[in-house]
Amino acid sequence: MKRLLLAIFTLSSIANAQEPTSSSTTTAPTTEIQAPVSAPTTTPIEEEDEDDESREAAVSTSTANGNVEKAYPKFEFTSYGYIVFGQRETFKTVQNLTPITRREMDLAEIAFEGEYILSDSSKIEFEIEIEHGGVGTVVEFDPFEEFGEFEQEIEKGGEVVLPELYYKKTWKKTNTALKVGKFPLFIALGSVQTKPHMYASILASDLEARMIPLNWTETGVQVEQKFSDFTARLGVVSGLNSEFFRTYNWIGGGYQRHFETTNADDLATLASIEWGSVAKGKGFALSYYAGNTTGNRYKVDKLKEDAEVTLWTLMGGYKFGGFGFSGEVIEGTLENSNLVSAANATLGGLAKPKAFAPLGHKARLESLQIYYDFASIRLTPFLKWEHVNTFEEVEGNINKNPRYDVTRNSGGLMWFFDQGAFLKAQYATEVTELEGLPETYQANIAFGFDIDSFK
Amino acid sequence: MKALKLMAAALAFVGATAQAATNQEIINHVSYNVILATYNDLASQAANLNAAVNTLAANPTEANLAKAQDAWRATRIPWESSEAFLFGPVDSLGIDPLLDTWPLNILDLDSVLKSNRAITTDFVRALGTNLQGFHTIEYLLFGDGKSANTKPASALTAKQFEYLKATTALLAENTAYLANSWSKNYDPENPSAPGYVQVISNPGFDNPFYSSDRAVMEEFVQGMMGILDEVANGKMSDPMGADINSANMALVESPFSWNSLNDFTNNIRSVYSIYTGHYRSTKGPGVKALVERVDAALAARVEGEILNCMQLIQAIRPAGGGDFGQAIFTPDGRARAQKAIDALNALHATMENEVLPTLDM
Repeated sequence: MKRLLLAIFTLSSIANAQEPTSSSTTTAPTTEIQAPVSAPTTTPIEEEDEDDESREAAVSTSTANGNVEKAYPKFEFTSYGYIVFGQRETFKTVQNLTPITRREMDLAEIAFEGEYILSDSSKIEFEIEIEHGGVGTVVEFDPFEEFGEFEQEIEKGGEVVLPELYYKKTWKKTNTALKVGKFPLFIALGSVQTKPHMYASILASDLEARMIPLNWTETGVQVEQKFSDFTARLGVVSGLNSEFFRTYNWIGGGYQRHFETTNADDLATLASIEWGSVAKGKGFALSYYAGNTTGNRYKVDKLKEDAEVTLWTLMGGYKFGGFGFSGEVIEGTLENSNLVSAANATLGGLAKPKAFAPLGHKARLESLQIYYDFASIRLTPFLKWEHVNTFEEVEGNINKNPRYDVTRNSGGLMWFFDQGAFLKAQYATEVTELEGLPETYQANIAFGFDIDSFK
Repeated sequence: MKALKLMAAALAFVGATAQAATNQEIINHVSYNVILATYNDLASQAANLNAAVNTLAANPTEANLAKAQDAWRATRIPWESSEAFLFGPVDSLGIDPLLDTWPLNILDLDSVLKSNRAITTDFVRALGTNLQGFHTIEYLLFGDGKSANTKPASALTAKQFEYLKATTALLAENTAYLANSWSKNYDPENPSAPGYVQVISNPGFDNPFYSSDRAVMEEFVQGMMGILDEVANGKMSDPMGADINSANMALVESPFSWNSLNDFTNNIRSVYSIYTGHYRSTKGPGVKALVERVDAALAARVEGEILNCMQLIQAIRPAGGGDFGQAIFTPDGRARAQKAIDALNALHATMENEVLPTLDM
């Protein structure tokens, strides 16, 4: 927490030092809602940031035209959403070797992303997601109930979540930016390529959710510094809670979105260096995440040892004419994974992991996607290979479980049949290293829209 | 003369009412002489099972295998006879899945047995709940249960012996932990916390979990209803499937030893124990004494329904051999099973609609 406060104080000081003594945009707020503005392409820096600089550049133009009094605050809005129709093979129980086929329809997600532009250098950005057509679930921890129980109230199957809400300040002279609030972590393709038009498959990564939180966002503070074609990021964000680490998604369950508040006794450090733009599919990045997770546990006496999570990610992609590729390698380490497993094994109530307490010490994910973009008809066929093993290495009494060493091959296409509307089709096969467990398939078709694709 | 008889009957009724057990007597008896006694028996039998498996591993004869199998069955009795009271530490400390997760994950177990890891108690502890406990031991001791419920001692490999020793030691440890949580300390994070038996048998305003004797009685009744529902609509109905073609052996509990019907019967025996207060040679009072104060006929009818359910479950057993896992693949066996399910659901309805309301009378 001290690190967080120190960072905020330091960055505030820098901000004040750079701010002009009198603002050129001190106007009364208006309720005007403006349509998204096309991004000017006059300076290289404006092309760098998919979501931010382009709009800020447009705002700067507006200021220069003398509309200062009516310019701010402005509200900009974008949205995306999709519905998935699927058929997949699964098993009735852990003993069954003959797969059964299930068909599913899922109103998977609709997201509303808005920006309150406060000045030519600052804004507040937020995103609201409605997942699976639902209205919400919440887990509550009640320390006064018996032994301290986890309780869940389920109103419907899905959730309404606020994955992003942050203030961003940009200093154009030094190409520096500051984010404070809840924002996506620059740690994996799934949390960098956040909109459907950025990737051809139905999800940016099908297997990330087996290892880390999917679409991972956290609350904290982050500084971004651009120099030439590079962007460096350094942040301090809320950490994970190892109480919810489970065999089937390694540290993914530790993402504290189950709760109304986030335990912040242990914070995490996030750092990355990016060349080009990974979000746009033309760039590479090396990212690092490290944070202890023991302090964020609710049952404070079950685990006394540190359980630091460390992640290294190399991700990116490039496009040569119509041909392109993208991929990532994520290496993860969980300190004292055997002790975390033992502590989790005796949790009660809803937190009870049952058979899913054992955790690997090291986990690894690799993926590679190749595609060809027929730009004239906006059709993008692709092939994708993914592999994840959350028992790459084990500690103490934990056994390597080959059921969680998974390879997935898929192929399909993305077709923007309308300017902002798409169809994606994907067929995947999945096989584990567990002897006797047969390969299964999954076929999905997604219909959706992505307003960002107009840009 | 008729008037005299009526008067005598009335006096007998008044006398019986006057001598009826109080709520506190019922709670004390059920807590100490049914629940705690069951958990103590469980811990004791699990220790015997561990000893029998160690003997078998040291000297793998058919006789020693038979003794280990008998010890498994004997340990199974108090555990299945406890399922009407799966509240308190067995739930809050997460002990239930450590002892009795089913179905067993055979694929993963075979994978572990093929690995080069040394198998110890701590190793098995870290594997997950569907690779330890009763059904892992059962699979190793009895075989796959498809055509027979036993296997020759010569079929047990060195690795399986290692696994058996480790997992039975862990079962003994976990059952001892459960017994301790009821007798001495229900919360390991708070060493001054008493045994749960003291908590449940002393309801009152200063009790953090049970503010009144009614709260304890409701816990008892809800516990009985919970296992009635689970046996009828989970343990029996799920493996049966919609028809004979969708019956699924993989969902049957205790399929390897062909002990399913005994398990189900003992589940209902646990209802009988809470209801009557009878456990082994110990006699009541139980919840029945409370119901009797309101409706003596209802009290007797419920006891009859419980005994009838136990008989109907045992009647499912195929005449030609086998157990529940074999019965659900024959039309006759399915019909007998459905009859038992209907009776269990009817008893559940009686508990919910007639017994539960007596708590407020």
